[in-house]
Amino acid sequence: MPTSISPAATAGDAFTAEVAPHVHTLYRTALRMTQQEQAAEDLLQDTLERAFLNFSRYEPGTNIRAWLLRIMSNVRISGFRRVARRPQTSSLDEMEEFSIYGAAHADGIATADVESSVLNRIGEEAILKAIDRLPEDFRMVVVLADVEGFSYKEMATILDVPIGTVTSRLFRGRQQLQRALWEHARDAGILASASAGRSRSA
Amino acid sequence: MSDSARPRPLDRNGVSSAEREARAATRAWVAGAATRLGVTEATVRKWIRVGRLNPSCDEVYGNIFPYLDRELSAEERAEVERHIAACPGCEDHFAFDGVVLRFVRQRAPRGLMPSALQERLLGPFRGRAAPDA
Repeated sequence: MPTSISPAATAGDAFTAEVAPHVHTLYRTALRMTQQEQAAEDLLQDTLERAFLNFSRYEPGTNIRAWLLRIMSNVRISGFRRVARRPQTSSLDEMEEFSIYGAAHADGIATADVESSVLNRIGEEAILKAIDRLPEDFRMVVVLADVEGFSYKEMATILDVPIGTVTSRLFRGRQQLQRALWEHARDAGILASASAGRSRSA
Repeated sequence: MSDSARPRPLDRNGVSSAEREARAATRAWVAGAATRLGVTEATVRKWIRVGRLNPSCDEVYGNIFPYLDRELSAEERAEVERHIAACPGCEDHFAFDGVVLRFVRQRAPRGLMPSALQERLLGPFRGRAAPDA
């Protein structure tokens, strides 16, 4: 216990104590949303300001992480309205069905070998780059589900869309993530050595 | 009277529009399955004939992520499991996508907010009084 006389805790102190454990989730999500350090910082600042102004409406003990991200998502969208430049939701040529399962067959790599000879050679930063290639609506469900571990119901609340929309965005988002990972593996020469390794051992 | 209000006539091969739509849907399904499985459309058609592939696979595959995420109801889950148990192709594909999903979830980096930024963002709130209601 501090021995000095501390001033009575203010609303700001209570707010800071509640928010502090979740700043890393907020930071990662803002970075993936905006894809720029400075834009992420601005978004975080606006989000925290709005959260503080509405903090009396937050019910202690409920899901503050989801509450904060819902505010962040709203701030992001109202920012688009202000500048009228919401990014394209999808580019259709990128949204064709894809699965690594099918691509591996087509590229002559046994699916049983994909984890050891392809996935495990993809670096961590390459996973983030692959996520960043997804259109924002699809990127956000992938980030919330697979990086931050939110349930479908929580994502529906955060993004203010029906659960069915979360499910379909996640389906297409993960398919496109598989495509981006596979293309990275091809560009990085991982696929070539995976199929060469297979023919050597055959 | 508009064209669409009349019953649609059969085309010159005696095929109704409903049947044409069903055939188009099957063609689209075959093309999608060929892409997904990395085989030719002819192979997909052959697999359908010999019972190795079934358009209901597509419906079940549509539930793969809710299944892997444990977001299905008990009945839906049981339905998927019944299908997988009887369909080696789907069993393999589901297991494979589970591996890919686990890879992404385990390996995606979780960066931390730098402490200087934490201070810059949260510092101004310390000691601040409640906003006017």
